[in-house]
Amino acid sequence: MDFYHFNTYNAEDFIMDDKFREIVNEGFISIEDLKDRVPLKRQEIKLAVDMLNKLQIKEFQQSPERKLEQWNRILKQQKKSFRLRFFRYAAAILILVGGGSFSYFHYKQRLAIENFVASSAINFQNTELILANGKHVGIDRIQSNIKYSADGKGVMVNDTTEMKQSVAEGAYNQMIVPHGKRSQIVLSDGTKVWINSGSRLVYLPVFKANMREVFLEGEAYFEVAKDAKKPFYVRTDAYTIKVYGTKFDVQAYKSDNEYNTILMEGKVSLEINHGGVLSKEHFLFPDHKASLSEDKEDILISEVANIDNYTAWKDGYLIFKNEAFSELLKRVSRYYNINIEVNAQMQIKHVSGKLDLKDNPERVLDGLAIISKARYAKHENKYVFYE
Amino acid sequence: MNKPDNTDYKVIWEMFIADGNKEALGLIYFSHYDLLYSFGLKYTNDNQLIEDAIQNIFSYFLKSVNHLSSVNNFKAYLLQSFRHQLINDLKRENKLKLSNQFTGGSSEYHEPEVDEIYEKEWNGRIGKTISKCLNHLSEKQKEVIFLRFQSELSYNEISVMLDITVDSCYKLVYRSLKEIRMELEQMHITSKQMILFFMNKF
Repeated sequence: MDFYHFNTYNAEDFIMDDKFREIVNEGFISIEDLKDRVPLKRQEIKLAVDMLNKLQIKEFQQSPERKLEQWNRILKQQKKSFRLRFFRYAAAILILVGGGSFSYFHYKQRLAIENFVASSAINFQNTELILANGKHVGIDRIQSNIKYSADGKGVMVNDTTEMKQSVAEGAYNQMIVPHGKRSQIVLSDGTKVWINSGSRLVYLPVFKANMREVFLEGEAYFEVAKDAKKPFYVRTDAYTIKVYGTKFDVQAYKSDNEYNTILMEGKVSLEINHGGVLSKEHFLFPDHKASLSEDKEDILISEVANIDNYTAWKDGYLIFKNEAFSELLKRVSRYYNINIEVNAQMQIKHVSGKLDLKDNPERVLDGLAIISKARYAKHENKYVFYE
Repeated sequence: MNKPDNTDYKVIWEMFIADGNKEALGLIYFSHYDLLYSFGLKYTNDNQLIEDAIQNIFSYFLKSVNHLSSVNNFKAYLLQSFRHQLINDLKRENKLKLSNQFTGGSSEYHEPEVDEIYEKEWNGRIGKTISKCLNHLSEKQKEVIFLRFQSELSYNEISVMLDITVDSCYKLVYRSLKEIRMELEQMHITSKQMILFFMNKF
């Protein structure tokens, strides 16, 4: 694409430009990319993005209860003979709008993949790829990579072994990554997913004609390939993320009730799965994090300071700046699925640094002991840090 | 963003006018409510009046379904009908200032109520400043900015609704954006000077 004419633009010219709005709204090239291609206009581009986001955001959202109440009043104004019929209609509308902004159609879709996830038991012992025919492909590597061909039939494992499968409708594939391992996978549409330790990704080898969807348990970082005609959904057991072409990290840990989505680029929205009529679409902007509230009823959005911290794991390390020691230990303990305990004094300690995620967890704990100026000892099945 | 696809709603509208299908009208109602309400806020801060206007146009649709016809751009049609209804209601209540043909003259840019924490974070910084600048625009400018960026109507559709030429519609949008940008720059410079000032002082 030619960006030459952007060199003379001010913020208002960018906003008026259809191509620019498309870049911001659809994200088919990143804003950072654009800034690099039009380096003279970095400031103006940032300003234009901020202004445009503000101009496009919904100013007002009425509560669903109030909308329904008013809708009922509209129907009541009709003749009495319509009454009986209206109740039938009202019930039907409730179902139709019940999935919030994602509609009834997606509700049914969601059930299909959720049912599959619920019905297929797995264990997190080895890195495994499970194909459509139920065949388990074991992968003996700390860091593996999988690449699908565009038709979903060919699967390249670790750049060396090529597998073939036939793709029947509704036959899901799964990637299982146990604790202490990682994997990168390129799906048939070109979307890249980095799967973190102790996680599972479920997807169709070749997506449906009208939409793309994956189910995630654990943590993964996504770079979704742009395809305006096929929206991309990341489903977790708590909420669904609708993707508008973008880069983001999702943490969906059922056992800790921890659900976070951190957006690096582009735009995504989230909707709680079982919200019914009360559910709404929560939009997330770059450098922000969406978390599930403790009661699982709401989505809370906050800004994140060091966005790189959330994706460093995919390159095999953790970075942390002035982070609570207990928080860091939580991440390490989750990565290796080991129990780590600290005494109260250590918990309030803040640490900064970079940690290599080595194959042997004890080598990582050695590193932790050095940065935190502490020592640790192994007691039965847990590690205890003390000063 | 979550934009209702215009073509789909055109089809749903046709389903409604074919035989008064209430499910179809319900879909239109629920998916356009917030847009209409936000549009109403450009003309008045009286929430009751806005709710009534929404209720009135949908009641009208139900009652007059036999007289309604298919439209090219459904969203533009809906916004146009709502605007017409609201301005009439405002006139009736004497709440529309005669000096200002289009608005109650008191419309503020409303901070989104999407999510409180979100509002604090993103709006907190640049967002708040931009809303401030938006509030300095004329009523007409606010109206046209809303129709262009929140409703995503084309210049052609906006010009028909507001009864101005496409060219002046385009210029109005452009000038508004330029004013916001220049004011933002001005604020930025002022805040930099403030910091320098304090640094010199202490």
